[in-house]
Amino acid sequence: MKTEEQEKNMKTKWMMVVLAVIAIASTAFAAPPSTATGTTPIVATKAESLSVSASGLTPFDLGSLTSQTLTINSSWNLVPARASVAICAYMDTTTGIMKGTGTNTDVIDQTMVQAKVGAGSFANINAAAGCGLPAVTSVKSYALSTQADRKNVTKTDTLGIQLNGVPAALQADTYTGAITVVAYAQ
Amino acid sequence: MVLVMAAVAVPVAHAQDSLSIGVQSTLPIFQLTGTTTSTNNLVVITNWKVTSTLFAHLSTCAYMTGPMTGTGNNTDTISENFVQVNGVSIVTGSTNCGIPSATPIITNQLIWFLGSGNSALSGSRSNTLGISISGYPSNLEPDTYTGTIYLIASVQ
Repeated sequence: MKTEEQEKNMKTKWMMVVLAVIAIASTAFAAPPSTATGTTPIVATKAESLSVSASGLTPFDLGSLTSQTLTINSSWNLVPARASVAICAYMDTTTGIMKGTGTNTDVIDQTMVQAKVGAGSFANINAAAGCGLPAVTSVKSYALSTQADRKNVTKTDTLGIQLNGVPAALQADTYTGAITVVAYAQ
Repeated sequence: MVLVMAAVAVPVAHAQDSLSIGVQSTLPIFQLTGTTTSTNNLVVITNWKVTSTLFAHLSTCAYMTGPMTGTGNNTDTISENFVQVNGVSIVTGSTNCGIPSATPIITNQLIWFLGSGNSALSGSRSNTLGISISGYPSNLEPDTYTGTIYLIASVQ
């Protein structure tokens, strides 16, 4: 026979067990908020562009030489790392010299082609280094210090061109060559 | 005494919980050629292990907090509004995962002690997001534009 004291202790123990189960169960069902974070980069690039073209020269009359104006149009859309754009012109000593037709071996080479920038004087078109090339006429250099200097820019420059020192004994013919224009960004 | 027992039980269980979110690999570089880029997949990996409860809900989201910016003194930017997840702006205009304008990836997925696979209390899940950039200005300055996609996972 359990005494009244023993029964009371037993009830107390059971109550403690029930309360403990309830407490543990409540914590088990209550999901503690948990958060994790991460990052990943997203990167996009837009390619730059740079173009140049020239026009304006008509055939020179070798019997009555006068200078002409070469118009150079350039446009660019460049990245912020670019610091400048240079415009140059030259005559390639191999592919650019002016040659006649048929079996005519006479030529008008680069030493007879002169260029003039602005109000300057005419000088050999392959005068000095520029635009990353050994022998050119430097027409213009543009500094790119602001976004407006780099973004969607169009420029027009002019260059005086004349023939000088062409041999009088040159065979009558049509002589054709090429002046190369360069836009050089760096 | 009861309170002591409960207090001891909780921290032991919580110490075993874990939750992480990341990506399988970073996105390739997007080429800005027109006004919409190609779509590249971003695989989001979520891992969870919950021992302190019998059930919970898992949510994951992606979001951006600012535009993609260029370099140097380039003032052009690509707004985060132009970044798309599966063809829709990552900026949703509604709060998800507790983040304003976040894109939901997993929404209140039930995980519980009788669950299996994605619904188990311990598991992993990968979600593939098609990321693209669309509607950005066509006259952006040529440059490299960089931004950050944030990922968040929550269990509650």
